[in-house]
Amino acid sequence: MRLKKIPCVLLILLLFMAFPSALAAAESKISDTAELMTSSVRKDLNAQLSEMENTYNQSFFIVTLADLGEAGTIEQYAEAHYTNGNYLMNGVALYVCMGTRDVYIYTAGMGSYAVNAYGEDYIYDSIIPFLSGNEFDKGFENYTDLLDDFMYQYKNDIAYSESYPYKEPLVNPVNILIVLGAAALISLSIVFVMKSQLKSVRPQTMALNYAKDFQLTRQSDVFLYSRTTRTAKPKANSSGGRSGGGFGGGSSGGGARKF
Amino acid sequence: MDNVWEYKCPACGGKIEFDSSSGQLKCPFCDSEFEIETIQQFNEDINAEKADDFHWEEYENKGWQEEEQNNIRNYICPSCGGEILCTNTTAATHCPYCGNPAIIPKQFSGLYKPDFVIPFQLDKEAAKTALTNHYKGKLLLPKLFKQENHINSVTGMYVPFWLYDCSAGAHMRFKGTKLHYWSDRNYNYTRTDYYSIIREGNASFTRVPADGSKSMDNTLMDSVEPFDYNGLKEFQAAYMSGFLADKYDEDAEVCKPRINERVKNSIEKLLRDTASGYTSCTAEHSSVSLSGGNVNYALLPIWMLNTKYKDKLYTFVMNGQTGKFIGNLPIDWGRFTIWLLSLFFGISLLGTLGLFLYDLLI
Repeated sequence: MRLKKIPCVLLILLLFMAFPSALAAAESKISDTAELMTSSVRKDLNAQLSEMENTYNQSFFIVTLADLGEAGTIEQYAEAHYTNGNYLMNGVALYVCMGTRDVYIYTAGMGSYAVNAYGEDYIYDSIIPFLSGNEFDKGFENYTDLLDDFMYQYKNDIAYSESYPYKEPLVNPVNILIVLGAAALISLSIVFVMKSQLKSVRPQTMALNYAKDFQLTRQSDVFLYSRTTRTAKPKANSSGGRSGGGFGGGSSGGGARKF
Repeated sequence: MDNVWEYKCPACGGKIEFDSSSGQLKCPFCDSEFEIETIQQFNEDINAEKADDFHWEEYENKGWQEEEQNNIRNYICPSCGGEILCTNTTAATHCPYCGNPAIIPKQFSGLYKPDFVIPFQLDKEAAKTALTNHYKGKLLLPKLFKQENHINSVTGMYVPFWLYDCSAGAHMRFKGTKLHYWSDRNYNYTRTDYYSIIREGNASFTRVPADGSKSMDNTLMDSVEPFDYNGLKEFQAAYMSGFLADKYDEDAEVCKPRINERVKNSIEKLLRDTASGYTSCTAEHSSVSLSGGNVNYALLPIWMLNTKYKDKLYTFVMNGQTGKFIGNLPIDWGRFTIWLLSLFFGISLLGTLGLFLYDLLI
């Protein structure tokens, strides 16, 4: 009997060792098949999305793909993935496919109220420049921060919209640098004015104090020629159609975008 | 022999040719096209341009009478070479430039008698008060400088000046531009119109001063201007009583280039100010001519104050007629740094607080 117990104990130990990994795999909010993120960013975003799930009781995750496989469009892929996955009725997910350079925000249930058409446009406009420039870490970080802001706003007040637009926080590294730069300029200007007060000896280059009876005797303004130049106006770049948002069960938001 | 007419392109300077298809003059280098009359006028203006011409009359002095000469004493400083004059009744005890007390009498000869003088209107006490006021409000002035404040000497001196009168005429050519902007759905457009601008004018200049003493710094004397020439009087030696006078050692010829430059700059500015309404206006040619130029020799009143701080001599000068007080002051770099850092941190803090409050409240 004692001898039979040993294999059982070993089996149980093995299961316990595998279980955390399985649990971890099931709980991971990032599926980075296309390997666009660095490991540290992946870890941070995973933690942030997990915390958001606990706070807002919705499913949040990011999926990156090398290609769409059998799915025709990224919207179809996202619909199938979310519906067939073990996800909550309410949620927001980001899908990025490197093969087709598509990015798509999928919203489900209450998620489509928090991240409505205005929210999708705002988030797309914020992250697409980074994705286009292959700055994927920055793009996904931006997405996660904005998602958190939009969810927080929806939970505590009304959702951001055209009539109640999202406001970028003024306190950010760029604005702080601008404040420091302006402070340096202003303080330097003031002390240099104070310094110039110490100097009163200046040469005279003019004799206007001694001039009188000035007369203009000839005045001629002749047009010679013209030169015209033109610069092209930048064109807006967007693609993807729009379809209406849904409510309850699975639903999708607007269309995908190219990056 | 055929006359060959060559016209320069106003845009690039190349030789332009007649284009029979358009009936205009066209530049083969930059493709600019011009009306024939425009180019003719432009080239005539260029060909008529001349160089500067400064003409001055020679200075003639009346000279001292013997009785006047007997009342004037001349001293030279063996330390700095400065020469001063004073009347017999005035005690010249030290050199006003370097403070040397061992000044030596010198034979009085070969000096011009001044044509005019502006007598002193302000006394020594006024000069000392002006110095105290000069320190006020100067936050970067070393405290020790103000506290020590021992004036080595306060000397009232008549400084020799040459006063120049002339009529000035000038011709200037500018290139002016006007910019126009517009846009359509696809492009932003900028059209630049180029103009040839000619201005001619004249003005008279009365009693432009230049100090005739090497011992007096020209920039110091420039800074003390202007004097009020309503107070100008025919010279009499009695005005010198109680004061020193600097002896001129730069004659009118030596000072003329400075005056030529000041008069030229002034009339050019007067003409430039009449070319308005352009986005930009660049001078391409200028010629100035001076005529009717004559010179007078005058003594003008100056109070000189000297003080030493950290082994450096600081000279202050006050216009003895108008009271204008000038003189460079030393800077306390420690105070400069403290002020700079305090302002920087203060403004940064206020700015950052403002950002936080805005996010919090709005």
